[in-house]
Amino acid sequence: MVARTALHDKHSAARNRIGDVDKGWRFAMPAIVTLAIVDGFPLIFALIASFQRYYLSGADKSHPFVGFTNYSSFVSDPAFTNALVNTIYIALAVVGIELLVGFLIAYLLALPDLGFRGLYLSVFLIPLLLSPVVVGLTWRLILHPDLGILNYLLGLISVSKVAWLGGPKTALASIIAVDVWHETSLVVLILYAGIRALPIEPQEAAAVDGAGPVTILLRIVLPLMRPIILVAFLIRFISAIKTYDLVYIMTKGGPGTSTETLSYLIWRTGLAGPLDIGAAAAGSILLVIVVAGLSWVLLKATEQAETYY
Amino acid sequence: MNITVTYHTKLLKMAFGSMVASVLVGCTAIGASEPNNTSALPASTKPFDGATITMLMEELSETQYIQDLLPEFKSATGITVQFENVPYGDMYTKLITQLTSGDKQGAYDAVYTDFYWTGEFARSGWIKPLDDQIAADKVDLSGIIPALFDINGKVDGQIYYIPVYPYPMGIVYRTDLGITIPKTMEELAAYAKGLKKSDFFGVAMQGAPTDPVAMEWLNFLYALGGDLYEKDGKTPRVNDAIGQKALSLYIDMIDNAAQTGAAGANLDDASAIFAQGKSAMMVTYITIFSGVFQDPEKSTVVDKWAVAPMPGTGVGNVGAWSFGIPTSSKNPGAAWEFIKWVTSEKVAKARALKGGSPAYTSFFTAPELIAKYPNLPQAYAVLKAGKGLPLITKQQDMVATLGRELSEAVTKRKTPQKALDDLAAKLKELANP
Amino acid sequence: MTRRLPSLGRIAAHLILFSTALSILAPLAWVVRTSLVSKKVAYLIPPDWSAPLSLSSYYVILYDQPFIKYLWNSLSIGAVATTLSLIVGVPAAFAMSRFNTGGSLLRIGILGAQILPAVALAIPVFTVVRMLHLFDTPFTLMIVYVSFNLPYVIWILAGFFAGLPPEVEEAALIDGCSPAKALILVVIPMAQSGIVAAGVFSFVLAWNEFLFALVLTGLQARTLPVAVAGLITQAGTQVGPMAAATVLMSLPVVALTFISQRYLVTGLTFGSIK
Repeated sequence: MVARTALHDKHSAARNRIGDVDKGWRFAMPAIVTLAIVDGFPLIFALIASFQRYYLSGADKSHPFVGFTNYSSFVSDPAFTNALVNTIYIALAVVGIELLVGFLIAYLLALPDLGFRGLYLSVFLIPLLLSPVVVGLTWRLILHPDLGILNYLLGLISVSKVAWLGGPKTALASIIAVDVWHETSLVVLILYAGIRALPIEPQEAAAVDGAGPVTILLRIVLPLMRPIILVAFLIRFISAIKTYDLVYIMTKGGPGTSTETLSYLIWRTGLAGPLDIGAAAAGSILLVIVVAGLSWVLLKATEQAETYY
Repeated sequence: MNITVTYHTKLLKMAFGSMVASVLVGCTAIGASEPNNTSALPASTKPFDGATITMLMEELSETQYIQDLLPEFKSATGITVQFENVPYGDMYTKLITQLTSGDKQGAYDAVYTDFYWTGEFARSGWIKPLDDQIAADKVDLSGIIPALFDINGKVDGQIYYIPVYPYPMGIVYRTDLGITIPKTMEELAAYAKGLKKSDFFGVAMQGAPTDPVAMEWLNFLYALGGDLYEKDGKTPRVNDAIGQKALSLYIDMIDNAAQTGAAGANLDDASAIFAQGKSAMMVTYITIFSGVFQDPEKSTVVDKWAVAPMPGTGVGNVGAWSFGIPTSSKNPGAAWEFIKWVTSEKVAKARALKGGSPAYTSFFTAPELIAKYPNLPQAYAVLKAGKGLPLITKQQDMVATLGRELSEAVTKRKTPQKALDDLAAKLKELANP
Repeated sequence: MTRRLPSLGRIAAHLILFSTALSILAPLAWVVRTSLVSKKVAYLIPPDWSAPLSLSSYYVILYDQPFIKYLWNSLSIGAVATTLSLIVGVPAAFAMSRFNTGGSLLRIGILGAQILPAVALAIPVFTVVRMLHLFDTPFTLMIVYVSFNLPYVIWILAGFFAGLPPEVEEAALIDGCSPAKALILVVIPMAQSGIVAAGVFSFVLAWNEFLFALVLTGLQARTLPVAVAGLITQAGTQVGPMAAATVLMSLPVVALTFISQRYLVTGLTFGSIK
């Protein structure tokens, strides 16, 4: 992005020379068609169903239109507010911690003459490769109050056992911690790439002027990194809002509904007890709108940040 | 251009190869998954010879016992039975998606049904009534414990499912520690609390939402003489004085008598605690766990445990699994043959001998079974005294809501009163759509 | 930064990096250890460190259950989905970055495709799959995963292409190549890192996907995540075999990533900078 403006001009010129813009559409068509069919159809289905009274079970198989009933009942259910609060809390906590830790790690990795860099990078890549199923199961095993290794180790230093997934606050904290363990690597990768791509001149100039490493970090590196940090934030935040797999594997929304996220609530409404497809569809559309809206805001903020350079 | 030409060729070959491969893999897979429905010669005594039927089963010991006996079925009828085994929590969703498939479109030919899916599946028109076939084939169901048909067999007067395996709940307790089960629930709570030491617990409990806590707590409710609804099946009474007492006793025991993290423990967690010798008692499915508790690989309490009914009224929660035939079944005829076979007295006895839970009345007094499983007579007493669930249509939702509200109370996110009141409000909605 | 870090700083840096690396490796080591002891020892707390190593859990996985079949399913589905994603995604990314095809609207549309929660898609997709009689076939998951992967593939590659200098292509075009030929002969070789990165990313995504695999497959096309999750049973999570299955499921992707590590970092470097 730092070099974008210059390249962009080159590309416009290149484009004019290459000429045939229609070719572009031919290249992009297969992708557009695939996405339209596989993602577009379910979206339209969800949109229509959200306005219908649509239950999977029961003797009455009709799907009459009921206007906005599904939306209003979904939103007015206390479970919705609970899930919304949980989702936002998880998303902010997870992304916040990951950005901080991720930046620290990325910064350290980018230090010149750092030995074992390749080795560290390889290790840090590993959590990313693991399926949420694997991650969830592994940590459930470790966090088990009586048969898990964590409590055993804590016991060795005289800390009493904690039921990590059994109490509402600890369960939420555990989900956040496991997600951080799993996804920080992605942030590390993105930020590391960003730091490596930074131009060296401003930092060198500042060093020559006598600035210490901390000043350089705060006054030069961080501001230059803003666009990338925003990208990392965007990617992780969208992902975190959709949190579902970990909840399903580790807590099933419990204890009570203390770890229930919006995605999990939607699943529960549609494919568990109520089998209320109409309400689940309404919830999905709402979730899509919320995430889309947030993404739009962040995208604009990113583009704005870019124009500084 | 030489290098790039080679690269170009390589790329094209790769692309072509993978497209061919994808089509091939896709094709062979489609081929493999279609059921083999060759029709037999009319004169054959095996009208479904060569057919393959599939059903979704719970990943549990009972399923294994049936699986061990399948070769016998195949040689008798020529039908191959394929089990798709999944954990309990995934079954409902997978079943729903197949049952709604429409006539003869579903992946499962018979459906293994748990007792709180009974009403919903039948009343949604997804299951074929079996009365006609039972009469036509003169199937004798009198040997099966009659109460099981109320729990998971009949809906609105018609037989939709044949019970295969009941799972009564009661207390299992250690026999090597001088434990005696008190007579009332209040005493039980005090007793269990007294037994708790630093590394040993009075009782192993399963407070996790939604099934574990719901199933466990129902025993507490019934033992105190309470119920979810009044006799009319429409007015909730779960939040009356008895319900509140049941909940406060339950919470007391979770907090002060049970293992660490009992509020989040599921059946698996709690059983492991008992099997590892770390608790004196457990409210659980008394017939399922013979296998686990008697397995030296998994348990340190082999031969050191016995079974007892709940104190108080002695009424516990009883569930059952049954088989039905979905309207979406591709091969209902072969499925019916299987159901007749697996629920027949001979096969049921073979399963019981392996450690399965018997569905036939006579088994609980059969000498060869009692010799192997001395707990059986006691288990039968518990079963007879037990109670199933109200047969409203939205049973699954009822149990899930029950579990959720209970968990909210157990984790102190709601007061017990509020949790029960919210639950009652929802139960009212569900019974009066 | 050109100045050398003072030794104290370096020690501190290594300390932090090392402990972080440890926090990643320790839980994994525990799972591996759990998979390499007998089933009974696997449960024991306090752990019996002196227990002999045993492959019994692996035997259970490979022989009691058709894990080889599930492994093959995951492998073939992942490989095909990845290949198709690249075949479809590379030209699209190329068009979007070179010709600005579709402008912001297409960019947002592709971004939007990432946003949809899997839960919302599951039921309609299942309905269609059933209507087309494609339930429980690997083919179905391949297509579904292609659509999951495409936004990421395009995003990574578009960014990557944007960073490549256009002169070499232009030279090819002037020599008489069509844009398609230019793409294949010139751009793709230059974009190796990006393509490998996008490919590995796609494969891992397909390999690890759970919800759709659960809903859209039965016995034939079942993939590893569903099989592994299936080891949580009511009557006892089979801790040993579960750990073994986890290890088996993770090894291929870990190996894949180690092999392509160099490409990954370079590829994702260009990709994440729009």
